[in-house]
Amino acid sequence: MADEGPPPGADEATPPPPITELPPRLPPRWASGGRTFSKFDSMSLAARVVRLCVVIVLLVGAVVVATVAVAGLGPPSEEDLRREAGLLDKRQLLIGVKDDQPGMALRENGVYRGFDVEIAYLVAADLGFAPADVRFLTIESEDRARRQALDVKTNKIVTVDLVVATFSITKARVDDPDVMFSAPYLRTEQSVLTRKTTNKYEALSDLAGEKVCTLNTTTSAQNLRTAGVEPVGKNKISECVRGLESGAYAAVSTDAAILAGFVYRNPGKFTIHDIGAEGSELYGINVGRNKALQTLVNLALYRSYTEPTDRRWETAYDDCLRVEQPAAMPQQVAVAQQPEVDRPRVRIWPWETEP
Amino acid sequence: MTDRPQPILLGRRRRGRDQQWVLTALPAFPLLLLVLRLWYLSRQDLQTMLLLVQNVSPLGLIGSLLITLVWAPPVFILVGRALGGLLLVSSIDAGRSWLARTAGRTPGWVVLSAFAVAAVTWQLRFLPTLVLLLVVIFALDVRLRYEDYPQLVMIACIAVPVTLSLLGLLLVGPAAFDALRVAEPETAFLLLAPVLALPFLTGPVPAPTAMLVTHWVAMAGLVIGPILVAAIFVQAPVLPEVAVELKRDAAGLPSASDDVVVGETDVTVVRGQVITVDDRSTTLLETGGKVAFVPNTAVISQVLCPDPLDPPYSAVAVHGWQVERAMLSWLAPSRSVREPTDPRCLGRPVTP
Repeated sequence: MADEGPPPGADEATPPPPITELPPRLPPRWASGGRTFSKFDSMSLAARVVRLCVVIVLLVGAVVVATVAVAGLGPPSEEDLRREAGLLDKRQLLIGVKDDQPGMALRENGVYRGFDVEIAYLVAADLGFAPADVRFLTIESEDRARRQALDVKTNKIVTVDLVVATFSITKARVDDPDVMFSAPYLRTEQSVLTRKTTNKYEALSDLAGEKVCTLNTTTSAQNLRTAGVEPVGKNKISECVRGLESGAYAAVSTDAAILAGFVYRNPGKFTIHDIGAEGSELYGINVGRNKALQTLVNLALYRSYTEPTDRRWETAYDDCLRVEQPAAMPQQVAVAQQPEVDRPRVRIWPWETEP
Repeated sequence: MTDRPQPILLGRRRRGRDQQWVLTALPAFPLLLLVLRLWYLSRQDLQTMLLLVQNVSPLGLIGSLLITLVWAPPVFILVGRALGGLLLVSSIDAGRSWLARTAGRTPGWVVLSAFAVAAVTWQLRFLPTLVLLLVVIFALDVRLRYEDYPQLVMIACIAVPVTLSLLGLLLVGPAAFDALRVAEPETAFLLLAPVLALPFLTGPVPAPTAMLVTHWVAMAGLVIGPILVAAIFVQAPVLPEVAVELKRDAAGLPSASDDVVVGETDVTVVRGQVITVDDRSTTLLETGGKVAFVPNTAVISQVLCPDPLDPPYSAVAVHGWQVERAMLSWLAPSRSVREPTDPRCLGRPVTP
């Protein structure tokens, strides 16, 4: 298209050749065929091509953006996850906890109390379950990966939704397809419990040759074996402590957060030893194979971690574990701060992202 | 010059004259949408759909249609008008295209009302596009009508767009930068692209390509647009969502067989949408698509379940205005976000 038409006003000087198909009301320059719209278009072809490119970029962009907007690409919302996790229309949330660990989870007169129980309530509340809609079931160490708990009321084995039972996050467990951990909610370390003594144990290898009791299928048992101690395995830590009391074992070794409860509950009976074991035990919540549930549990922990006014974790620590600290000195019961939680992939309100 | 150029009606084809029937067919699309919505709601079951047709109030349906799709007509009007204008200034053969003819006939007040509706109902992130469309329509119109006044054309097609573009950069530039930082390229594009493109869209494109980027794009939009609109509308709620607490025995439901649940088990919750209530029973469309007739004597309590408040996809705000909020939702009062969900809406009874 020739844009370099005659300058304005030139049409009147030289009358254009008549083009009969076009109606007479058209502006003269159109009829002449040498149509320009303004002087600025005399650089026209280049300008027109640039405009064309801009139009094409905008149109392609509009298609992409419309696709993104209509498809609703992006992380799911909390509501979507609840539906996906199967929490809607669920009457009760079943949670597996230990029942014999004072401070962490102890069942007395049919009521569960302790740090794990408080964390379970915290998570359940964010999943939309009131305390009355949460049901605790006792779970043993070996059943935590498979989430199988015994319902004493009906004497049946049931699969629980969540396992909050001093379950340490390890590589081997993470690799198990049946186990999916939430973010950690407590950081503690392995320790050793003996009857009241002035002797000091400073390493797990100091226990070599002694009868040491620990829980089956736990990280503590593996650590003891690595240190050259062959432990006696029990399914319940309370059996170990009873054996220690009666003299059947010389020591009990497991996590400090568990042992401190026994020292606190039985003043003057036991001594807890701050051994130089490396690495810490990070407790996580097992959600089974439910990916959406994992994200929701992480969201609950993330909120508790980031929300300054949310004191539930801190209150639980103060009530259950901090009180045990004087009795457990010099062993630290557990780190008095919630382990850091990464932001889960959930669509949340913008103001919730600020730590 | 007394004889103002009238390039819009090229006169060569005036087929539009005998097309009054199009006006009669216009309400057919919303009607089709409403029927489609009911069919979708009934989960393709004709009996359920008949029950719905019997009881659903047309006013409710139209209300839902209005609230859900009020943003859509301006899209068609403004984009069509801008593309038509571009075609008119670019090609001497523009009159052959229905797009150019329609654009030429669209009166200014239609464009302005569409702009007004869009300004309050479009989300903030689309407002730069809206301004772009309005300025382009205005500039192309000036170019068409006043081509013999170079100063006027220069003001409308260069001075105004460049000024607005610079102003826009100042306004949305920081937000677009934020969007890039939080890895939201689509938000950055929506904010920035119209602002940067504005000065480049106020003149003709190469004539041979004009039909392709305007007429055929509009054709594609006409085919795909209604499908998108329908896809959005079939998901809009048309019946109130409720949760009803029921006595199992009075409702004739079998008692709970779930051994694991302890405590009171003869109360259950049905979640669904109320079709109708009469003196004997409440008719509910359950979430699974099943129709339940609940005797009124079995009802312990019921609660309206509000739409879950959906957090925005984008974390970006322009001067404190979240990019996914429309002016209307910003002005109108809204519910508090922190309201906890009623347990009944999650399917759990509150009656012990």
